[in-house]
Parts: sequence; C-alpha cells; structure tokens
Amino acid sequence: MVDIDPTTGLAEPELHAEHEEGGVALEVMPPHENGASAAVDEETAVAIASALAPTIDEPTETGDIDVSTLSGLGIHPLPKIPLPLVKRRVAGRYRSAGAPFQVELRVDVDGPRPTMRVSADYYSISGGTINYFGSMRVDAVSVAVSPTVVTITGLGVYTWSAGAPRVKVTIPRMPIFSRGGAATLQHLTLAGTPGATYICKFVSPFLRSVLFEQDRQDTVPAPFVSYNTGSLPSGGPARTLSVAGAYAEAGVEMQTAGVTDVVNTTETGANGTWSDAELHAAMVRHFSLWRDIPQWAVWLFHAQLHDLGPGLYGIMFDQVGRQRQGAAVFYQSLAGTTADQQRLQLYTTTHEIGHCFNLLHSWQKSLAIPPLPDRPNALSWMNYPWRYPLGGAGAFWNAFPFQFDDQELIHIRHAFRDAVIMGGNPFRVGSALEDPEGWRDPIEDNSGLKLELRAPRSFTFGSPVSVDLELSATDMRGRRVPQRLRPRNGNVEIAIRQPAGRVLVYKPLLHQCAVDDMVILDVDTPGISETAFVHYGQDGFYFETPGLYRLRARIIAADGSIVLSNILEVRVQSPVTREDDEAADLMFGDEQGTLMYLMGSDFDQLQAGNEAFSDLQSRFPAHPLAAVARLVQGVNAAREFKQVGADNSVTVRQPKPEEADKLLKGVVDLAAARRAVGKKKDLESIRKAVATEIRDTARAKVDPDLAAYIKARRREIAVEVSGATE
Amino acid sequence: MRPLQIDFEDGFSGDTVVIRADGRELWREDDVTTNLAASVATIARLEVPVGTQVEVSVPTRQLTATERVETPYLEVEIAGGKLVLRPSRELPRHL
Repeated sequence: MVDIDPTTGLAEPELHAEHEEGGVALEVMPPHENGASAAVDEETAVAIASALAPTIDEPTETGDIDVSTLSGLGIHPLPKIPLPLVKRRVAGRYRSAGAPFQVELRVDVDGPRPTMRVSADYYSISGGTINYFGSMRVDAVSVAVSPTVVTITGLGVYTWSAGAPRVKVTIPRMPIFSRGGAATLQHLTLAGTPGATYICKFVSPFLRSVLFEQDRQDTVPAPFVSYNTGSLPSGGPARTLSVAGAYAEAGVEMQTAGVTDVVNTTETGANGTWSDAELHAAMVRHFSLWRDIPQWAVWLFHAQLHDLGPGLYGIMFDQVGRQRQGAAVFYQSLAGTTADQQRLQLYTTTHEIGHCFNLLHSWQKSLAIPPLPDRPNALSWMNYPWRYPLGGAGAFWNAFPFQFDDQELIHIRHAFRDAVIMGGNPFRVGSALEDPEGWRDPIEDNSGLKLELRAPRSFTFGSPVSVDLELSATDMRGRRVPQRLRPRNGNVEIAIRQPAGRVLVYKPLLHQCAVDDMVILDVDTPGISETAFVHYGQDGFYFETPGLYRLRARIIAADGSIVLSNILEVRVQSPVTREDDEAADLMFGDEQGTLMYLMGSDFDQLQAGNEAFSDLQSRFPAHPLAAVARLVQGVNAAREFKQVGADNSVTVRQPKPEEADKLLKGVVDLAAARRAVGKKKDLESIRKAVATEIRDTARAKVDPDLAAYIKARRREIAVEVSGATE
Repeated sequence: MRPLQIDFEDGFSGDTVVIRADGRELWREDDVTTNLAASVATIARLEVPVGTQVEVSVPTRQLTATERVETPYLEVEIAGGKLVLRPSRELPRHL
C-alpha cells in the first residue's frame, strides 16, 4: 500500500558522492512480495489513476495538456532557438542520491530522435536495501531554453497516486566539452505548491543501459558482428550497425558484459535441435548474469537450428517465469557473408532483442495487453519485411531506415519500468505504451454498445467482492460480442483503484480457454449480463484493506472499439467489533483466496485455508463471513473429488450430500434448486436451470455481498448441487 | 507423393487442427497456440499426392478451408474469424 509518496514532503535533498559518468552498476532489486509483480500494468495506471481519481477543480498555470489533443504521438521538434554549438545537449540519464528515495531521470528533448518526454523511476532506500517504488512519465512537455538553462515542465503520470504530480526539470547548459550539469527535478501539486525536489547528477547520454551477453553454439563459428547499411539500398543513412549500435540509436546503451560461453550441441538432446525449454535451460546455465529477478540484462544466443526447422530465424524463447531475459537466432538459415545475409542477421538479432524489450510485431500491436491499433505498414525492426503490405520485402528494404518506429521508441525509452525491464511484466503485458487513452472516456463513441458495472454499495471486510456486468446494444441494428463476459475468458478487463491509489487490473487465478462463441446484440437480444468474482486472483487479494475502491470495466468489441463502463465506487467496511476483525483475519490467506476462487477443494496444500474456514465457523457461527466459509466447504462436500498421487494413482472421495446439505442450509436454497430440475433431461439444461434458481433465490436469502458471490459462482454451485451427472 | 510443409501461424489459441487429404485424416494436433514471439504455432510436415486437395480444419472454432496445393509450403492463419490458406513456393519464415 502506498502511504509514502516520493513526490511530496521530502527534506532538503542530500548530496552524495558523484556517480561515474557512463558507468551503471547492476542494481539488485529484491523480488517483489507475494510472488506477484508489484508493478502496475502501465495502461491501467496511466489512465485509471487519472480517470478514477477524484476530480480536481484547481486550475493549473500551464494548463493540462490533454494527450488526446496531441497530433499523433506528438513528436514535436524543439522550438528553433539558436543553440550555440558550444553547449552540450541535456538529453540523457540522471540519478539522484540519498534517502528515502532516489530517482533515475530520463530527459529526452534534444538528443537523436527526441520523443519530447521526460520519465523517471523511483527507488525507496531502506537501510541497506533498494526497492523499486514506481515510475513517472511526462508525455507533453513544455521546454524553455535560455542561454544558461533548459527548463522542462509538464504534468506527470505515475504508477501510484502522486500527491505532487507536476514536474519541473531544470538543467544548466554546459559547454560541450564539460560534463553534463545536474538536473533538478522538482515536483509540484496541481495547485503549484512545491513538493519533493531531487538533485540528479548526469550519468549518461543514454536513456537506458542494459548489460548484454552473447554466447554461441559450438557449430556457429562466426556469429554476426555488424553490417554496413549502405551495402544495399535502404531508407536511411549508410552506417555500420551492430546490435549495440542499433540500440544506441534508440537511446539504449548495450554494455557488453558477462562471460562468453561456447555451448555444446549435446545440450540440444538427441535430435540436435533446440526446443524452447532447452534454450531456457541453456540460458540459465550459460547466461552468467541470469537471475530470477527483473534486471537490465539480456542474453543473445547464436545457435544452429530450432526444433521448428530452418524457417525459424530467431525467437525470444523466454516466456516462462521471469520472462524476456533471452533470445536466440539460428544460423542454419541465417549464416553467410553476403550483404543480404548480413542484413538479415542484423535484422533478426535486433528484432529478437526487441521482443526482450517487450515489443510485439508491428501487425500485432492489438495483441498487447491492453491492446493498441496494429501498424502493419511500419518501417520498423519489429515488422517482417516479407509481410510489408506496400510492396513486400523489396519495397520494405528500400525504405527501411534501420530503426524502431516512433511509438516503439517511446516504449523503449519511457514506458514504466516493469513494462520494459527484462524479467518484468510477462511478454505482451504493457507492451504498448503509446496510448494512455485506453481507460479514459473516448472523445467519440460509435461502438453501439454500453457496458455497465454494478455491485452492492459496500462489502463486509473479508467478504468476497463480486461485481455485475451488463453489456447492451445502443445500436439495435446488431453488434457482435463474445457470449462470455468474464475476466477468466479474457473478454472483459476490470481495473481496480485501491484506497491508497494503487491501480491493478484484475487477473483471474486461472484463464479459461473456451471457443469464443459470439452473440448478436439487437432488438431480440438487447444485452448480456454476468457477475464476476474479482476478490482474489494472480495478484492476491484485490480488496485487502477497508476503504473506498473505484472500479472500471472494459471490453474490446469485435470491430476494435474500446467500450468502457461507468466508474463504480465500492466501499469495504472497516471492522466494527473485535469479532469482525478476527473473523476477517481468518478470510485472508492465499489458501483461503484460492478456495474462494475454486469454490472449495480437498487439495492438501490448501489445508490451511480449510482449517481457517472451519475455525471461522466454530468461533463465529453467526458472523456473515461464516456463511461464506459454509458455502465454499458445502459446495466442496457436494462434489466428487479426485486426487492424483505421485505414482499417478487416483483416489476418489465420494460426494458427501448430508454434510453438504448441512453446510449449505441457510446459504443456498437447495430445495428450490432441486425443484428447478423439473422434468429436464439433458445435463446442460438442468445445470442452467439450477444456476438460474440459485441466482434468483440468493438475492432474497442472504446478505447482498454474499448474494453477489453466489451469483458469480452459481454455475460451479449448480454443477455440484444439482445432482445431475454425465 | 511429395512433401508438404504446413505452417500454422497467427490466430491460434488452444485450438485443435486437423489436416485431411482425399477425405483421409493425415495429421491432428491439439492445444495449438500461436507463439507471438515468432508468429508460429506449429508446423506439420507431410507427404501428399501431387495436386491433392488439402483440407485444413479447426474444429474448436468450426472453421474449415480447402486448397489444391501444388506448392511445397502452405501457410495457415486465422484472421478476421476466417481460416486463411496461402500456398507458397518459398519456405515460410518466422522471427
């Protein structure tokens, strides 16, 4: 929870020993707690943090520059103020020292291909440990240049709810042969009241620095080194480019590091070719910098051949655990010294490392989480030349300037840390920085759809939070939408702003892969509805403290329209009595969260959760939370449960209907549910009827927040209590 | 008989894919999912009669398409809700 804020209320900044220019130590960041990334999906943080925050009425002196008014992505050149040639650029990376926070600041207003942004990562210092705190970015800067100083101002977007979100960066203009001057980063409230100030010493003209290790397979004697882009027609100036050079042009310093290894072909196993799993194992074994934490370090493996054959030129294979730390290129097809072959080697190596920076292919930006429009015409490292729609490979190479496109540049340089850093977000998550509009109200909505989010106004602390979703057509000519409106099918996202300002997108514990049946919303079927359990998922508990939460849901319609719901306020009540507090305490534990998600389980590793639920029922039988425990354990008792042993033997625990009935009495109207079976014969109809009955009777029978949970899980409950089996 | 390589590329997610020729099932794979880091899901390598009509189906999405294949390669993708087959004389490339 955020109860400290690096933008507000710091004492006078302390100056420490100078950083060596150009040298960047590898920062050791302890793993995030709870096994889940503490970082926030950038799209959500950027837009929800502002969209869900209480409205601010105070005017600002510079004006809030709405990103949506920027033309395209706003690559605006600096005003043409005559800059004497004797002054050095201010672009680059700066770092503050001291405690309790340190800042790494990136200034991008006058270097090569400036994106006219500043961004920063904040680190909290606690004793001998440094922890990543969050990131900031200013997408629309104002730049004032005088003979002696450059002043950059703008409104920042943050991964937390910053109390002083406006920034003013002041950098002295230094003679060209001098060291860069220190940047002063001052935060201000929206009203202009000064917040925290950091003195950031100049570190490097590069905006990022990554340790880069390369190894080769023993059958690859000559890995790629460099290619002269003038050897064949191209769209840019002729120069000699290596992978490091390509990234240097993007503002990233690729520092050769680690120990170079020659990897024996025996590590491929019997078939002599690499699977993704074998590549991952080779990385762990040979990448001397590999660690199971996010870090600015990447491995490129020059290998011979992948299991998929000679058509696979390269792959970012690391999509397990802490992802994006390594990539491989394959010389069965790439090897050679002709200009074509060297050009393809440069392209493939730079492309694969681009995936490590969390870049998707140009025509697949819509597959980012959250999505953006595809850019199949992009003249970028991340396209396939042979897929270029405007004339194929020949036309692509003739026009390609050997660079990333503008939006990719912004991502590499200024995305929130975890969306870029190797080992940060999984591949695809946060891979499309460019448009923070994804969670803000659109300027124009012709989607023909309306999404509504509803829930009880308040929940008992510890009670599972579930919300109602309704998607309806506003255009009765018909709109095609997915039939299943559930986070676990990936059809709807729900962003949650917690009381302290942290923003998360609900990630279900399990993703349910299902055929995407579509339904047409029209006069005959005006809407579909669903209730979603959002209390516990991959990030743990989303409602783990009392307070006011703000939620917003989003779907991507079949035509690509982004349909946003209303902003829903939900309050989690504070415990009133000691009993409330102790009962709630028994509901919070990963085992309990998992049991609520699964509607119970016999799995022995969840035993602690079952014990807590039993304890809750015996100590506080009349407490509303005890009803949740009875529901979860009652549904589990009603089911047949199979366990597979280590020797693959299967043990079947038979349903315990009497125990189930006893637990579920007063929570689920079993008699009504069983009456709903009626004369139905087929399983699907029976379960559907029982689920409907459970949903309808829950409203009358139990507290509203428990009723919401029962609605969210009615199908799972119906499967177990209907008595119908296949 | 001639070799035919079929590259299943973009658009697959936990799907079953089946290849038939002359009504006979030649190849089937379950849980086929596109690896977005390479735009390829799986590759089938078969021997088929020259000029045969190849049918590719994705029963998990009720999609089927056929193509009389006279090239050594066939690229398959799901795009816009449809199964698209593209014969190719050149080895499909992925990176």
